[in-house]
Amino acid sequence: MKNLLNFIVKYLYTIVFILFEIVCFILIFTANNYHKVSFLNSSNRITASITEQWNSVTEYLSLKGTNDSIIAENERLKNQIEKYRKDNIPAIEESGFKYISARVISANVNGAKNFLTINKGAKNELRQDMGVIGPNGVVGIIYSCSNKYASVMPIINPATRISVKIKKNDYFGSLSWEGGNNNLALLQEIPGYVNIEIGDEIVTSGHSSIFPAGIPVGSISSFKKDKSTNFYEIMVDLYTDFNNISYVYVIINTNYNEQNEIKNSITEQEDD
Amino acid sequence: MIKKNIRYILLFIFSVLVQTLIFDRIYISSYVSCYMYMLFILLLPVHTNKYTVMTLGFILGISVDIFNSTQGLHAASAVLFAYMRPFVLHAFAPRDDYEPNKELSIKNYGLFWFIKYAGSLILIHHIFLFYLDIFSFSHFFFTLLRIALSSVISLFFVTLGHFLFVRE
Repeated sequence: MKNLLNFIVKYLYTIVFILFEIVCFILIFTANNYHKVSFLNSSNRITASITEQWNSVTEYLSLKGTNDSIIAENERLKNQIEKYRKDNIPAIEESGFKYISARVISANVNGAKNFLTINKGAKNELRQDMGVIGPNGVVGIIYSCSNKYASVMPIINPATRISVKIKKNDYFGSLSWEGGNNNLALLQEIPGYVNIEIGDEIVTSGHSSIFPAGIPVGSISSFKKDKSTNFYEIMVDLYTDFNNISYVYVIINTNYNEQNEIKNSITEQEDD
Repeated sequence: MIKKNIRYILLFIFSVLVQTLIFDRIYISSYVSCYMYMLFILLLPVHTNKYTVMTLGFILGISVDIFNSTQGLHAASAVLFAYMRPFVLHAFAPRDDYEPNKELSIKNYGLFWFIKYAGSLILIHHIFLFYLDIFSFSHFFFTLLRIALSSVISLFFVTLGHFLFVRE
């Protein structure tokens, strides 16, 4: 007993240090549970309002870049409308998807576990698992919401999986990111017999209830075939520039509940 | 006494806000990220109780974490930084030891001493932070290069920040 006390007194400093580190590591590893809304993230009211105030000051600095991307987007949308007009297809269909614009108020895009915070939240009908796109293409998925703010898990977060397809032949796979460069993501599950080329466009597959089909994601920058599984490992150059992202659109799927009910009823039947 | 404490509270707020509102938002290159919020711990008086320093390190790290949605990452690194501080101070102690009322500044102990003191602590902090962040050795050399370049940039900005705080 006396020895134990002596030991504790002698190494008290290191013991306190280890206790602190244990607390930190518990925080780090509970944070990996991405679907737990946690009070410590930046959709937290106080920090988000500070960063929003700051943004209203600094947004003038990036005004030119923002304008350019809006002009480019406008051009693309106009071309799309023209196409619909030519083909005589009614442009407004009952697609079941609704778009809400939001401003990015903070972006961590240089680390390993990246996050964005946007200035719309549960008050604006946002909730977890909604898709987020930018002017150039897919950005990510909403991971938690407070009343006025929401955290977005971008493609460049190791926990994000997005179902995508190759535009020209409709083969689909899953897009993920494994660290390193924040412009390149990894596309897997494309079988080795498919004919692909560098520069082929990758778009969303529409197989999940999160994104509608056909939203641009990126283009193939390089690929290699895994000899043992005969599947491709494709590096995708993302269209979204995460180093310069100032506003986004959140996609609200108005049929989400109905789609989920059907999915759940199937899994319930399987359980029986 | 109160006046002195207010200076350190201001330094704390300054470190956290400059880090999260400026350095975490500017993009230099994928090789460089600057972390200078540890400036607060570096400049605490020499004879501050070492448990106090460690607790302050934890609070500092958590504050940066809350802004960045990185739960615990900066807290863990800042606690290590605070833990190592007495050892590094001891290792680089001048011949006639530190004087209690002198600030840990370039003016009092020289530029070379400050670079040794701040540089080694920043390097330890960065190695821990970057490998904990990716939590694997898969991009080992890329990360090593990032650590080396980022440490140099961080040291530069810490030195600049120190000039803002230290009085003539």
